[in-house]
Amino acid sequence: MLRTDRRCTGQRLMALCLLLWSGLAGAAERIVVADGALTEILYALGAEDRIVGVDTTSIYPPEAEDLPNIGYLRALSAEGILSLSPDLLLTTQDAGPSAVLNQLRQANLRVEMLEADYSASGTQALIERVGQIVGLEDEAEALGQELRDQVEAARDQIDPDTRILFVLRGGGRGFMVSGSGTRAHALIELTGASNPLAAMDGYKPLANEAALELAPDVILVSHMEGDVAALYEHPALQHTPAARHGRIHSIDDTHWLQFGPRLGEAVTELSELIRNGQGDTAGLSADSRMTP
Amino acid sequence: MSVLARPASPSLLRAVSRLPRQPLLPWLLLSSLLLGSILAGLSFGAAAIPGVDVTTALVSGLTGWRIGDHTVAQELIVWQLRLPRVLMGGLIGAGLAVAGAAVQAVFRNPLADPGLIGVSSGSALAAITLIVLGDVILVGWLSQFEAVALPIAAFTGGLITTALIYRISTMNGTTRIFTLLLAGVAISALTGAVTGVLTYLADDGQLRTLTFWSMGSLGGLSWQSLWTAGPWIMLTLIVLPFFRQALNALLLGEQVAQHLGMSAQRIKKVVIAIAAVAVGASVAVAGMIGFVGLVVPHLMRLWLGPDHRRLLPACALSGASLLILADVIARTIAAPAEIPIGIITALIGSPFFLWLLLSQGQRGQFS
Repeated sequence: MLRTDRRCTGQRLMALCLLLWSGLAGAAERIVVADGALTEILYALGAEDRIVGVDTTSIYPPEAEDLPNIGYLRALSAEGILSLSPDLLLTTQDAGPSAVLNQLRQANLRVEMLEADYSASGTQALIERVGQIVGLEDEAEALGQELRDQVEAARDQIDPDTRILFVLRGGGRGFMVSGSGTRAHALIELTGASNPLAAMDGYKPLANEAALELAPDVILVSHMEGDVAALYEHPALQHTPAARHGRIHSIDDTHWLQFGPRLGEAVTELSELIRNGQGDTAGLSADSRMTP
Repeated sequence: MSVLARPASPSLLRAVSRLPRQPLLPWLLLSSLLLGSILAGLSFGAAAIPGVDVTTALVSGLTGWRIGDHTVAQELIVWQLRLPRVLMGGLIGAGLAVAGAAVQAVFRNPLADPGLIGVSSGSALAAITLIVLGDVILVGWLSQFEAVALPIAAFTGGLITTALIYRISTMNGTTRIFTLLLAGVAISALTGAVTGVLTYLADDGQLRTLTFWSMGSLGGLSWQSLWTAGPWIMLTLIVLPFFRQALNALLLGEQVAQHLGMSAQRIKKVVIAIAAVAVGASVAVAGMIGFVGLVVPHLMRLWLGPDHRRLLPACALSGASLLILADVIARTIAAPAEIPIGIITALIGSPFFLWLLLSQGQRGQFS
């Protein structure tokens, strides 16, 4: 980019006009976006042709992965971002390091760090804020409302006493389970079910005995790691009600835990999965998963 | 400071260690390597900027005149991002390598690195404490210092840990190197355990932040970091060469150093303190960058011999070049993303270190 605008004065002039115009209108034209949910929102609003770069967490829609990648949002690079000649860096509070963000602000790049909050209203607010920034308020309002309706519709179709445990597999060294403050916890709460670890904060390793005591009715396992069938034999999980009733499910956490425009979809699908045992379960029927 | 290194009997020392006629070639090579690295560091990056524009941007930045037809963005990238990064990266590389060489002399062990005096683990503990518990610590009046708190914490944390290890291993005014080594290992294990507790407490985001911090990066370096952390490293680069003869004597054993009229205790004390200052300042602004302090002195010792009169300047030149070049790789190989420089130096350093272990094991000696 930097190389070409020296050559053609015409293009440069046009770019300058565009810049002035966008400055007056307040809408960004060349956006570097560093957060998967925000990328999804831009695509859902139809603003994808303004994106000039994404970060490593932006993996949906798949087209987003074809854009120049600026790396992980907590380890941003000033020159890398500036080399894309953006007029806006759209990201969340998680972005860093702060020294790099300062460099970008000193380079007169507009940096918008939005507050992401793992709730339906928080996601709706996030969508509306992005809408304001890119000048697509109406689309954003419609999208947010649709999401809200989907979440409302899916809610309370589940017995609130259903205990759902979300586990991340930590290699061969047991599991990490999600307490409150995590996205998994927020998603479980949104379906109206309960997380038996609500009293705990964040992700923590699970002790084998604790699993029995928690007595989860359904266990959700993050999708990316391995085969679900083996989990029924796992000493920590095999005696839980979930394992006895064939209710260990592998879920696509990159989709379900994104808290972007597809949140309504995710809540609906999870609710469905909890009620019927149908969904992304690695193709195993409930019977074949019973342990003797 | 130079008093510390002053030999009581100059003529004796000169007789012991007269430097043979210095061959010029190594210095020409090392200087051109550093010059080449600096040019590469200024020329390459995520943004493709032609050499002409890099030059005019540099001149514009230096003089304030508006010459050449580079864009404002190009000048900003060259003058505000690349130049301070190259200069500070070079200083850090030189500081780590020179500190490494000095620490190896104090321990009389070429496999020692500045980590042994606890400065890295102490800095890491302080930095990680701030990353995880920052919201609890930096409240009210203190919260305005959020941006500078991490480097300050890392720097002081490193120095306090080194002071602690030094205290533990000093009895009746004598520092036992063996105790220093063991104390360093023990304190590192302890800080590692506390770091583990903090890691356990950390949330997802904090975990990722501390992972990236511990891999090191020159990405956040600015003129400001050059003015704040640079002088500490400069201090080391200026003071340590005064100890070149003292370090040479120490290599022969503490008794020999005493016989030559030097206070082995003072040498150890000052060298350890100075090395800790350099490493602490680098860790504060760039995170953990491994293997420069270990591998560079080693490589230079193999090439130019163990004489610190040559070793220290050679380490400064090659350490600076290595870090600047590693940083060029770090910021161009995955552009516009950047990979942590600690990964690059470890990728180059570890295999080299293993090769060193093997080849020295065969020779049956460690020197």
